[in-house]
Amino acid sequence: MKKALLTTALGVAVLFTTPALAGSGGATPSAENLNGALLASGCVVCHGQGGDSQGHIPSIDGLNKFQMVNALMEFKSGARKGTIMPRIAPGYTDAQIEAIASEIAGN
Amino acid sequence: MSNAKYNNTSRRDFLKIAGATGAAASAFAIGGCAMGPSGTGPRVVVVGGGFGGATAARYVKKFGPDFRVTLIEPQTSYVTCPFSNAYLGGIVDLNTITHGYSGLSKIGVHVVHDMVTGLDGAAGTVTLSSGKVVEYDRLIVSPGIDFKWNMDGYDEAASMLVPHAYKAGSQTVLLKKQLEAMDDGGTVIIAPPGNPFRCPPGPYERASMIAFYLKNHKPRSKVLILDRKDKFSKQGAFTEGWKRRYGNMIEWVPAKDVGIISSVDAGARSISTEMDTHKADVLNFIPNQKAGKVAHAMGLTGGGDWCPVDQITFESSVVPGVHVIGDAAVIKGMPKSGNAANSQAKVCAWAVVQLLSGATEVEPAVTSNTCYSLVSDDYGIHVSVIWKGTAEGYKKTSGGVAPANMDDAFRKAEAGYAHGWYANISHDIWG
Ligand SMILES: Cc1cc2nc3c(=O)[nH]c(=O)nc-3n(C[C@H](O)[C@H](O)[C@H](O)COP(=O)(O)OP(=O)(O)OC[C@H]3O[C@@H](n4cnc5c(N)ncnc54)[C@H](O)[C@@H]3O)c2cc1C
Repeated sequence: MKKALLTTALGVAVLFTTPALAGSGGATPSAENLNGALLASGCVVCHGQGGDSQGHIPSIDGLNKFQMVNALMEFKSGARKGTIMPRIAPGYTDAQIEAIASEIAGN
Repeated sequence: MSNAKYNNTSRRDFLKIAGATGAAASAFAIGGCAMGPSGTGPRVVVVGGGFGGATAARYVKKFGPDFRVTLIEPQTSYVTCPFSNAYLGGIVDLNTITHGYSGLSKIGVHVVHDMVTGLDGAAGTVTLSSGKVVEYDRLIVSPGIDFKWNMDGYDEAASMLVPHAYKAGSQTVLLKKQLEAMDDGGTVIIAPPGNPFRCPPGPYERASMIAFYLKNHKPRSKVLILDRKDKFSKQGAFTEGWKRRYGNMIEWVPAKDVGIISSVDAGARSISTEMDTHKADVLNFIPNQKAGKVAHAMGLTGGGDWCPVDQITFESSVVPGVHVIGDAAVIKGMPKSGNAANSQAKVCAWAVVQLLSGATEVEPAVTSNTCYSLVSDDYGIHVSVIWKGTAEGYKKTSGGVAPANMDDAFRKAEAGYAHGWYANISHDIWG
């Protein structure tokens, strides 16, 4: 059944508009592109939708991409102190940090 | 071309779902209608509107705006286990931890309040308790846990006297009422389950929140934890916090000293081991666990307690085209938590959208879990992990537990962040 579904899906792939498709000009779905959205989707559980936090955790929607990359890289290196971010930031590669910042702050 | 197929099936689907509720077929309009999911794309059906399922429904719609998403959930409102311990402590009310489904309806998810009773994987359909049959192109199942009612003396009827409070709602309210009715000087016994179980820090946060309530209202009382394990999650951080806030009010006894619990007497509120009988004034017995009942009925456990899945897409190893996430699934390296279920749902939604858009392979994801526990109203502790997905499971790339011996300001900040996490993750899930 899986195979049948995939075949069907392949035949109609071009009909569906996903952010990935939209972002890559309607070509095949780009893992890279969705991956930024997927990576950043982990941030919103604490920092809120689009970085707009409800409650005590700082909002991050006011940061531009450069500031966000900078903050994450500082948490990653240990130069910047925090309660939890020093344990989270080192889990991401530099490229993933770029992708997250692009997704939340835009380019 | 195949577009017609989806429109046709949409119509059939609509007739099936709406027919029994008496809606007129003429209400159908291209691009969706009030009674069906919005969109004209592939049909994704989600079973269970808890942490995993509600997130999956939202994120399939987010990653594939044209996808037609149906969520099947029997309850019209959902009480979260996260922060249900804070409710026991008197820190939040029941309303704060109760969520409805209108936020999902608003983004075009078709929410059906019914119960799934069966699965036909070959036909690609699920059956509901009302008798309706719903077709899917891919199915995502997140039914949570069920209890192993095999402890001598502890069955569903006994849980009405001795609450487990490990599915939030009436059970949590019952436990709170019992705490309120208890005299000062009483003993509350918590018996945490054996591994694996949902929310590894849950019973110990519960001990903290009960102690918080007792310290404020019945300060001569005691919390005794009779464990079925010899160690527990965030143990160092909890132990430090208990000392700092409650002195000796909480006593934890490891399994090796408790012995094997052989029976529960719900009427007498006591627990017996081969060596001893422990009598409580309030008894919170938490049974051992397995995947939610419907996962077994759908044949997704392959005869075991939990549902085996592909570690990258969370597609069932037993029934192709069906994905299982959350507490019910075996996702190696991750704990059974609400945040993990939320993360898995996003990874799964991403995989499902890609697979139904023509991808034949899905890249492993980088994902995370952050879990705050409240030791007191002004004392929070976290554990946080980032993982890299592999075919064998999730490998930690960083993370850890809140460091030891931090000052009160640090702990207080984390208590605030715990509330912030709750507000933001609930908004991410239910809107
Ligand atoms: C006391 C306690 C405290 C906790 N604290 C935290 C915390 O602070 N942080 C954290 O991350 N996690 C916490 N958790 C864990 C968290 O609650 C679970 O891990 C999470 O709920 C799992 O999500 P799920 O989607 O697998 O299951 P659930 O959230 O249980 O959702 C399952 C849903 O499926 C529905 N369902 C069941 N059967 C059917 C059927 N036949 N048809 C349709 N729908 C069905 C149910 O009604 C339910 O809504 C805590 C748990 C407990 C018990």
